[in-house]
This record gives sequence, structure tokens and C-alpha cells, in this order.
Amino acid sequence: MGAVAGVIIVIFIVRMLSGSIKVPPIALAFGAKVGVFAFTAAMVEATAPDVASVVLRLVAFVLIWAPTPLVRWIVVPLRMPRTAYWTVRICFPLGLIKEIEAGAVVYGALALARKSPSNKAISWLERKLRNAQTIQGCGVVAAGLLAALRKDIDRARGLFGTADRMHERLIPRSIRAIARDWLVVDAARAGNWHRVIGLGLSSTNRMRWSYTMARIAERLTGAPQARPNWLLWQCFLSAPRRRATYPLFRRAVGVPRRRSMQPDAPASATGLPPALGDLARSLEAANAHNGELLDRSIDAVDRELDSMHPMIEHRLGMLGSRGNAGSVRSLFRHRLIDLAIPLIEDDPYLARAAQQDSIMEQAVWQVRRRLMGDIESQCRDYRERTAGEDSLDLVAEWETWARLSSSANRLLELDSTAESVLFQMVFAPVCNFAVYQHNGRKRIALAHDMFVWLLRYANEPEARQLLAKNVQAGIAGI
Amino acid sequence: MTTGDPLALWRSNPFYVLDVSTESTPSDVERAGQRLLALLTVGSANAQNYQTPLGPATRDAEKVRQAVAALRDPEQRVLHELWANVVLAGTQASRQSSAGAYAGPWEEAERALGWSALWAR
Repeated sequence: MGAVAGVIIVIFIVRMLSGSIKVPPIALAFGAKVGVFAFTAAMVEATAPDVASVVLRLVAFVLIWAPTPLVRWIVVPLRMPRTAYWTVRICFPLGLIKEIEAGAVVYGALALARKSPSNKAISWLERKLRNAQTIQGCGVVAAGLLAALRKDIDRARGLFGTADRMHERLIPRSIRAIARDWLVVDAARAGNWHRVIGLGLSSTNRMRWSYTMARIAERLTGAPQARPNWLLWQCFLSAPRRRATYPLFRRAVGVPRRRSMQPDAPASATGLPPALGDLARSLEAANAHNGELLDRSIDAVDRELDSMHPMIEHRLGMLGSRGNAGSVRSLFRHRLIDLAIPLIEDDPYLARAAQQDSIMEQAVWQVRRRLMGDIESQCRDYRERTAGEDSLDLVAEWETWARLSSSANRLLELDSTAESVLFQMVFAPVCNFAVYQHNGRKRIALAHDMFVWLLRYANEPEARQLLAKNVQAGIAGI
Repeated sequence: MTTGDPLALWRSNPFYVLDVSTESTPSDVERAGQRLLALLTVGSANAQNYQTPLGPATRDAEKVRQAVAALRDPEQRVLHELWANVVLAGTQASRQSSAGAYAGPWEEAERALGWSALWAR
């Protein structure tokens, strides 16, 4: 009987290795784990005394069946990046089975983030990531964590943003949570609560901590839909990281609920110096994400500037200049635009408050033009590389895609009417490049992410049909 | 995306850099520039920092030279006079909205992830 079973297993393995039977990697890993666990248990039973036998069996059980909790709750808090990396590599957690190398880098980077990271340690993890055979969601999050460790925050934002909106077949939920939580913390530390709300209340893949943070953010910003205290408590108690979030939670509970969004009283500055004072206040960190306040303050300065015309002419005359007051006012307005541009680049949500023909609108227009320029140059790069069949390494290719999609998403946040213009600009170069990545380089996950993103904004039936077909082809290959 | 200080450019106003009033004469400006350059050359720590109505800032010799050059041009000088005259006290915007006082940044955000303050500040 045993010999027959052995023959069947051998035939199965031979056919599997020859490719005539396809077994999902997770089933293979599960089978291997069962085998190793049974063998270890039998060995322990035969060699060790009673008490040691129980302990050894427990250790084997944890290492084989629960390596992720072991790494997350013990190895990472103990700040042991290499141990975290090798534990994941050796113990093969089933949740990370598609990208074991990249998953190991994720936990290595998380352990490294808890201490002052050395260049040597970061480079070691970067090498490990570059050598990974597959890069999907885990790889993108690992690249994001390494970029954050290098303090390249813009790159990290782009990569985490890409991971956060990725198709669920490309990224395990626990890894998506790492990306989203980083984005939430990044927005919260800058007081960008609108972004926290957007991340936490996204219609798909809600997660407990980011959801709770979004509810806290609603109270902090005085949003009319903000939850009452008892519901806020409920969210808070069901979320992780309660101790670290508690001070912020207390701050939110202290904010009285508002029934409707009432605009702040209009600025009533009389004269340019107080108007500039108002503007300076609106630029301070505490108010930097209040678009209405910023727009009103800039508008007030602009109005006061008009009344300064005679005074400017007088001063120019006193200084013996032949210049005219109009050019000074024009320079002044350019400076106002220059002040608003970095704020809008940082938080495109502010653009919603821009009134027609205002200084803010001009600043929005300039940011929009710059983003369009970035996207155009990245599309040109894709066009050239598709024609030359030239490809970067997989991590760099994900980074390039994250940069392009991040610029495009910010442009759409800035100006939702730009959707069709944007699609016309990116469709051909990105679609052709994705086809090249899919067929020529077998980078199915990257191509699939590009097709999914394009499909979201496609409005022409032919384009939609083509992209839907490509998305389906990608899903079959993942 | 940037996380820079939006008031940094404003704090670099030549009148703040040279620590002179907007009524000062061209010769006052030149003298202030020479004095600061001399102090910076000998490495005076006091000369490296200056106060503005928008908070403290730092200066170096290049910044001082640029400030003096900017105030030599009448149009630039009038422009900087306008920007330098800021009245902060008792302004309308200082009375924030009911939620405004709470809606500032979350300084300890990194701690929630267990990160050791790695974000660029």
C-alpha cells in the first residue's frame, strides 16, 4: 500500500516538475509545511523527553505555521532587520508566498525603521530587493519603505500610493495596511486631515486604524458628518495602536460637533500690513491646509495692494526711480503666486477653494502646467523606451510608474475636468509600454497595474474594450 | 510634493536680513551690509541668526550680499518694503475657526507606527 502511494507521489512530482500539472504555489507551500511539521513532530517525539518535546513542538509550530505574528510582534519590535528578513525567507509565511524575498525585505525594513538605520543596512536590504524574482505589492511596499528610510519622502509617497490602490490579487491585505498607515501618518503629521479622511474612508479595502483616523480627522476639521463621541469611542476601541493614538483621539473628542460647514468670518483687514499679517497666519502650519482661509487672505492682500498704487508711485519718486507702480504691483502679485504654489503642490485639495480670476487660481494653473509637463516628459520616456525595447530593472520600473501615476492623480485632484485631456496624453504611451512589459518582459503585475489605472479613466468605448481585455489577460497571468 | 516652510522666502526679505527699517537710507543699508559681512567673516554666532516678525531665520554672507544688491534697485526696494511691513497682532486670521485650533499637525505621528522620527522635517 505504502509503495503504491510512494509511486503515485513520485509520478505527481515528476509531472508537476515537467509542467503538465499546475499546482498553486500556496498549495505547494502548504503541503511542504505539513510534511516538514509531521517530520519534525515525529523526530521530536522519538528523541526528546516529555517536557522538551512539548516545547520543541511548540517552537516548530510557531516557526512553520505562524511566522508572520512572530516577526511582526517579536522580531520587528526587537529591531533585528536581518533576523526578520531571514525568518520570513526560511519560514515561508503563506500570506507572502507570491513574493517571499520582497516580503522579507518589508519586515527587514520595518525592523530597521525602529532604530537609526545605517547606510550599510539599507543597502543590504536594497540588494536583496533587487535580486527578488517577483515584484508585486510586497516589492512596491518594500521599495517605499527603503525610500522612506533614505528620507526620499516623495518617492516613498508615490510607491505607497501605488501599493494602496493596487488590485487585491497583487498585494496581501497586511502589506496594503503598511502602505496605507504610512500615508495616513505622513498626512497627519503635516495636518493634512482631508487626505487622512480620503485614505481612511476609501470605498474599498477599509482598514481599522486608517478608518478610525479618518473619523478622528472629521472631528478635528469640524466636518458636519463627524461622528458623535460614543461612535468615535467605538471606532477607537476597535482599532490597533490605541496607546499611540490616544492623545490625538482626546484632541478630537474635545472638538465640538458642527451641524453644518460654516465658513469663517471674512477677513476685514484695513491696510496692507494687517492683510499681510492675516496671510502669514494662513501660511502657518496649523492653517496650511485650510484652503478657504488661504484664498481669502491672498484675495485681501490683492485688494489692499490696489489701494497702495499712489503710495508706491510716491516712494518710487522719492527713490529717484523712473519705474512705474504697475510693475511693482505685478512683481508683488508674482510673489503671492510663488507663496501659494508650494502649498498647492503639497496639498492639491486646497485648489478647491480657489475663486475664479483670483491669485490662487493663477497659482493652481501654474501647478497644473508643471504637472502636465512632468507627465508629458514621462510619456515621452515611455514612448522612446517602447520603441527601443529598453527596460529598467523591475524596482526602478515600478518607481517610474509610481511617479507618473502619482503626478496624474495629483493633477486630477487639482482639476477634475482635466480627465479627458490627461487620458488622451497618457493612453497610447502607457498602454504600449504596458503591452511591451507584459509580452516582452513578462512583467505581468506591472502591466496589469497600468491597464487597471488606464481603464479607470478611459471614456471611449474602444479604449475601454481594449483595456478591459488587457486587464483580464493580466488577471489570468498573475 | 514639498514639505518646505512656506514662510522661508518671506523671512528672507532684505530688510529682515540686514536688520534695518524700511525708512533707512541707502547709506544705512550699505553700512548694515558691511557690518554684517565683517561679523560673519569673523564667525560671529549672533550675526548668523536674525529675528523677523514671522519667526527666526539664519543668514550667511551670500544672503547679505543679495539683500544689499536687491535694495539698490528702487523697484525691488519698494517691493520689499511692502512685504516687510507686516502687522501680526490681533489679526482676523488669528481668530481661527472653532475647529482650527485642533486641526493642526499631529507632531507625534511617527510614534504611532513605531518609527524613530525618520520623516524629513
